[in-house]
Formats: sequence, C-alpha cells, structure tokens
Amino acid sequence: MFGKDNENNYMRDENNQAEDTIIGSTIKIEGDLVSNGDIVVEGEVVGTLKTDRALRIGEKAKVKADVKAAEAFVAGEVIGNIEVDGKLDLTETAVIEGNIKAKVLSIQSGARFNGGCSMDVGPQVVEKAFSQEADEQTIEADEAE
Amino acid sequence: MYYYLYDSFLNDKKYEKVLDRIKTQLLDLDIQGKHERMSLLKNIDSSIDSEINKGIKTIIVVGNDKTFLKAVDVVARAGATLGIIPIGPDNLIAGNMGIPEAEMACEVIAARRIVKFDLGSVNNMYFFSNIKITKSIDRISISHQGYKVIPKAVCSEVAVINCPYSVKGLKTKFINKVNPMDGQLDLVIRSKLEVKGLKKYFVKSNEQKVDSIIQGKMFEIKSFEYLPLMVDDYKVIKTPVTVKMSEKKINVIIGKTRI
Repeated sequence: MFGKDNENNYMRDENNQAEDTIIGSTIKIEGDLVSNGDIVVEGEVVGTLKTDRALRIGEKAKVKADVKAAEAFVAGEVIGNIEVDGKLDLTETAVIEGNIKAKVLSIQSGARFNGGCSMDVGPQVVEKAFSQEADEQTIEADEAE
Repeated sequence: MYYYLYDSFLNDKKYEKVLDRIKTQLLDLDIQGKHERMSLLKNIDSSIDSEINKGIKTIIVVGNDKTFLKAVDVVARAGATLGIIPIGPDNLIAGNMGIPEAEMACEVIAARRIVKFDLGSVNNMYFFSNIKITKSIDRISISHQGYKVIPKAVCSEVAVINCPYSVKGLKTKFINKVNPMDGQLDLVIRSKLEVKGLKKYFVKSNEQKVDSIIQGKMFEIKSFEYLPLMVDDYKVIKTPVTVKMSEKKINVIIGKTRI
C-alpha cells in the first residue's frame, strides 16, 4: 500500500484500490476515528486514530492523537503515542512528539522524534535467541574439551 | 402489466418520432401497458402511486436521470420495480446500467434482468444517487461514529453518495469505488482544482477534485443556520438532517453491460 510510487499521491492508484477512508487536506476530524479499513490522512485529526489495517499520514498532515494501526507510514506531524503491530516507517519529513511502539521500525535521516521507543520482540523471538545462544555455548564447550 | 411514464420535456415535437418508434418496439416485444405523459399539473408521485394502487408492479420511466431519480422514492415505498428508457442527454444512470438509448432499451426492459440497489434515506425520504451541499460549507459539521468532520472554506461540495452514476465530474475509479450495492454510503468532499501558473489569471476552472472519502451507514449534518441541501438533484431540503443507509432496497431493470 505504501510503496514509493504512491508515496505522494494516493489518487494515482490506477487499480481502483483507493483506500477506505481518505482524510483530505481540506477537512478536520475531531473525535475518535476507528476504522477496519486502510486510512490515509492528509488533513488534521484531533482525538484518537485507530485502524486494524494500514495507516498513512501524509507530509502536510497534522495529527494530535494517539494512533494505533497494523502498519503505518508517517511523513507528517504526530503529537501523541503511536502503536503499530507491524512496521512503522518514519520519513525524513516526519515529526513525532510521543512514544512509539512497533515491531519493526524504520527512521529516515531528517525525521524528528522526541519520545520513548519500545520494540516488542515477542516471547517466541526471545526464546529463539536464547536457544541459539545456548547452542553456541555448547559448541564452544565441546571444542574446548 | 407495465406503466410507462413520459417526462414532460418529451412533449416537444422533436421527440415525436422517437416516441413512436419506442411504442412500436414495445408492441413488437409484447410488453404493452398504460402510457402517460407528465405535465406541469401532473405530479410524478401521485401518478405512480395511483397506478401502483391499481396493482401495477413495474414502472418504466421514459426520459433522463432526473425522471428516474424523481420516481425512486414512490416506487421504493411500494416495493415495485423501476426501469428506464433513456432519451436525450443527461442519461448517465442508464448508461452505467447498460441500458441503450430509446427503442433499443425496450429489449432490456423485455429481458427483465432485475438487480436490487441500495437506497439512502434522509428525513423519511428515499434517495438513489446523492445528497449534496454546495453553499457555506465551512458552516457545517458532519457527525459520524463518534467523531466530527469539519470541512474548511476551500471545500466546494460535500456529498453523501449512494450511487455515483449520475454524479458529474467523478473519475471512473471513484465510480467503481462508490458501490451502490455495498450497504454503505460514502461521504465525498470535493474542492476546486487549483489552476497554476499564469493560466490562473485567464482561465476560470470549475473542475473539482475528490479530497476526502469516508464510508459509513449514518451521517448527521448540522449547521449554525438552515442551509439548503439538494436531494438527488431535484429536491431541496434544509439542515439539520440525518442521512442513513436504508434497509429498503429498490428493484431496477438493468442491461447486461452494467458497470
């Protein structure tokens, strides 16, 4: 959804796969916006912003809200906490004032980010890392013998 | 039994020949019925209503988009079937439903391929296409599912669309996106397309671009003062209004090549 080709213009999508909710630059949203489809924000949002799917915050967008999404691409301004289940992309124009929680995080140079960051790796990943470490130690011990 | 209702603009002499051809074709296809012409004194609602009370189940309007849209409310209330024989310009609905013009449409009517379309409702009135507001847009707010949408002054049109076929200036990809059978209404906010460079001093553009789309089943439109809202391009009501997706659907005869 957030490929480089449609990074600046979601209207360019020729496959008729336009997003479920498009908040354009000429409107302001006040309140709790909860959706089960993709959301594109190019305007202003004040309140909370939640979706089970992908979220794109455009370069000129101003979001004063706590944000939750499955994956997110942020190029605009967000004042609030961001929680993403999958990948969070912050571009060079992104301005974040708040805490971030994401599984995978990508920050381009130039992005401004003031806040805490936690990356929930999940119990399975931790277990795998521990078991690998244990294997390595056993091999080292075997070699020493 | 069919009831054929001709729009008043067809009283013009230039349509005489085409109307004769249609009547002959209907006779050939054996789908005859009562024929009536609308006039300034004959209201479309009362004409259709009285025929439905007599037991007629299929109403065929002969005319354009406006004729079709005017018939929707009364036909939907009665649970009858609606068809159109398009004549003249402004026939986007028929075009998108795969209905050819004039006598060629009679075959589509005879084939009776019926599809159920969604209906919107506003102030106890059904609408098929859209309701829109084009004046003082910065004075309205639209409530939807716990949040408010506040359009800025640069917006040129706020519309709640059920079926986009007769909405002018919408690109095909948006017509495909705004589905009249998905059980959802679409709040579409448009703004005027900016003319850049030196052109802006010489060219006055009326082109609009789609700025925002929000899908939902209910929108409440409020304003500081009473503002006019156009329902299906023929009736004016005033704010505040609640626009809902209706549970009622309308049976429409369509062609094979519908979008």
